[in-house]
Amino acid sequence: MKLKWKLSLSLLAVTGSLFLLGGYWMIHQNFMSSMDDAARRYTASHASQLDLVTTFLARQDDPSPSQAGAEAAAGVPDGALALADAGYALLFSNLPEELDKMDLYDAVEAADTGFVYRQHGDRIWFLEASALPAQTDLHLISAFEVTALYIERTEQLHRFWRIAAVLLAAVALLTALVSGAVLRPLRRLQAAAQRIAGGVYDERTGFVSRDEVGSLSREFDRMAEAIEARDQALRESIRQRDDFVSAFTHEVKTPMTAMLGYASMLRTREVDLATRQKAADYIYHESKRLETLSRRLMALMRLGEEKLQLVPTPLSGILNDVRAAAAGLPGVRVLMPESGGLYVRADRSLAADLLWNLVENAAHAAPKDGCVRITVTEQPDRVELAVSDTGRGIPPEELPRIIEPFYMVDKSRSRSENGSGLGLALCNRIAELHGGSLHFESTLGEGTTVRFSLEKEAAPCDVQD
Amino acid sequence: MDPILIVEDQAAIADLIALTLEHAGWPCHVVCDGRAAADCIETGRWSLILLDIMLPGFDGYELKQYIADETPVIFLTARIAVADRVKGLRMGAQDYICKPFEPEELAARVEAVLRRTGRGNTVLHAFGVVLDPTARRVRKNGEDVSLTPREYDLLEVFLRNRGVTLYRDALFERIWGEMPEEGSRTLDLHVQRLRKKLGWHSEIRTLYKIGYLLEEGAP
Repeated sequence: MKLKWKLSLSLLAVTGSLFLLGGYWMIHQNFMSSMDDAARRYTASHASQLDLVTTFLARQDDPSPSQAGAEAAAGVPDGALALADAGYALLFSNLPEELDKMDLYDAVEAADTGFVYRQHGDRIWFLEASALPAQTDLHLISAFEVTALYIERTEQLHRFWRIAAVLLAAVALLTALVSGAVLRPLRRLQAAAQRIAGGVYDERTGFVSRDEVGSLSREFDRMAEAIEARDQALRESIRQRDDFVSAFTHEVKTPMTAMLGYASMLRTREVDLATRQKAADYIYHESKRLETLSRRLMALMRLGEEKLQLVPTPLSGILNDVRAAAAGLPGVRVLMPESGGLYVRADRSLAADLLWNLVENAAHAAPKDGCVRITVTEQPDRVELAVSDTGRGIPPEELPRIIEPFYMVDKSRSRSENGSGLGLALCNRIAELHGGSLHFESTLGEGTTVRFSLEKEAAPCDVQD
Repeated sequence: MDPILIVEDQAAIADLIALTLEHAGWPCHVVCDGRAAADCIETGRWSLILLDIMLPGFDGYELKQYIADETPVIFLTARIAVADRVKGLRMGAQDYICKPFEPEELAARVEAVLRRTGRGNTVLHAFGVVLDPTARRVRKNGEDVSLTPREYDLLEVFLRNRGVTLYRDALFERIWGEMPEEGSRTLDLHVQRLRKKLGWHSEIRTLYKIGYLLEEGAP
């Protein structure tokens, strides 16, 4: 059974039974008190009848009980009465026909304690009997009809049932509506959970309320957000892995194809000298390329596991390493900064590798006779190094992905510049091991600046001059 | 015959393909990027197009859509996923060759495609012998010559490499699919039988310890 129906039915049961019990009890109390009133009134009437009979009998010399009865009946017109002797012979009676001798007998039996009610058909009587004070063998029996009280009670009950029916119907409707409204957020929560389970991770409930349901839905939304983020991260890492595998396959298969093909040609048949030379050349260069690739890949994997020993290193040392290498770059001027006597926490050879790789990339991007500028900026606790070129720039949508292994801005994967596709991935890894990362700023057609930072170290005293 | 267009951005591989196909007797033209390829496709007539998939400019799939349906296309790529292959073949490519490939395999596939599409030289001739690769039938002066499958394969290799020295071990490996045992005479026996069946006594020359060579000369 649905919670909505459980809730509304139990509400209805509670309110209904309380209302019915209360109403019934009230009507009953009302009835009892009017019965008491009537009993008091009739007891008084009975007493005045007795009084009239007694007075009449005392006044007369030859008293006739039937006359006394008639006198009393005339004196108290709202009830009927009878005078009976010890043998229950009626000396006077204007009692209704329905009341028989047994009723009178019962009334007389109860005379000492009070009164009785007697019912015949639809009619009910109040009966009270008393022995006459002067003639104790005679009993005065009074009868008053109380049917009207009973009828009224029945009518009251009927009215009450009708009201109750209408009221309970209204209560049922109201509880159904209220429980529906209370449970609506739960239904939306359920629908949202179902959609999320079905893979629609951007589903949110978005309730704004301060109650428990509101906080449940807020928690639910937070959970959905966490799931969505996790899912995206997972997808992203799967995509990166797939891209890596497919790029790696391409990077390996291209040199493999050339090597295998030329080797196969050379060992199958005699070829002319020029072709043989060309084939050998290709085999040599493609194996070199494969070797570089595997070396870089190993480096990347090793750097992935290792925790580097960073030591205080003079920045000038790193810059000198790069300056020496840059001297061999053809057609590009590398503008070196002053180290300013700064010391950094670094692995000198890796940091120099990183900087040199960036310089080399920049030199490839720079136009003929262009220049590459290295700048050093001292920050409160780090030293930032930047490498800028005036080359073609990198499209903004490519920037976030260029550090992925084998990611090529130029989709051709043309190897005219002989990159392995792992250079920037390596650089970024080295930057990370130095507690930073690579930051690219690029404007298409104007150039690119790459920044990374190293932790600053106080200069040791013994080398200060 | 119209030349074969080779679209491949890696110079090493493009040269390898050109050398292989030219050796098999098909004229070739090499282009290194998608745009140049699109120009060639538009202006030239080609008996076959070999398409690399990852290309600068346009990729191979895009280029395939430029190419008229009657020109056969073979995709040549490092992507080995079945989905890629299915995609290539669905687009109407005649074949799909995965890198790395053996040059002979490439030549055989190219020939198969040329034959299927009714292009290229369908029969091989030498000294009155005609080999029809489609029917796998050999005739000499109009009469059928009965050859075992190995002899037939051997003859086909000779006919495809006229005037070229074929090295023993590579030749064996190509026909038998494995390296010969030390001192094996199997190859020599088959060459002897082939010479006898075709009456070629001086036409197939033995190069002692090196290999064999089918002389160039009259078709």
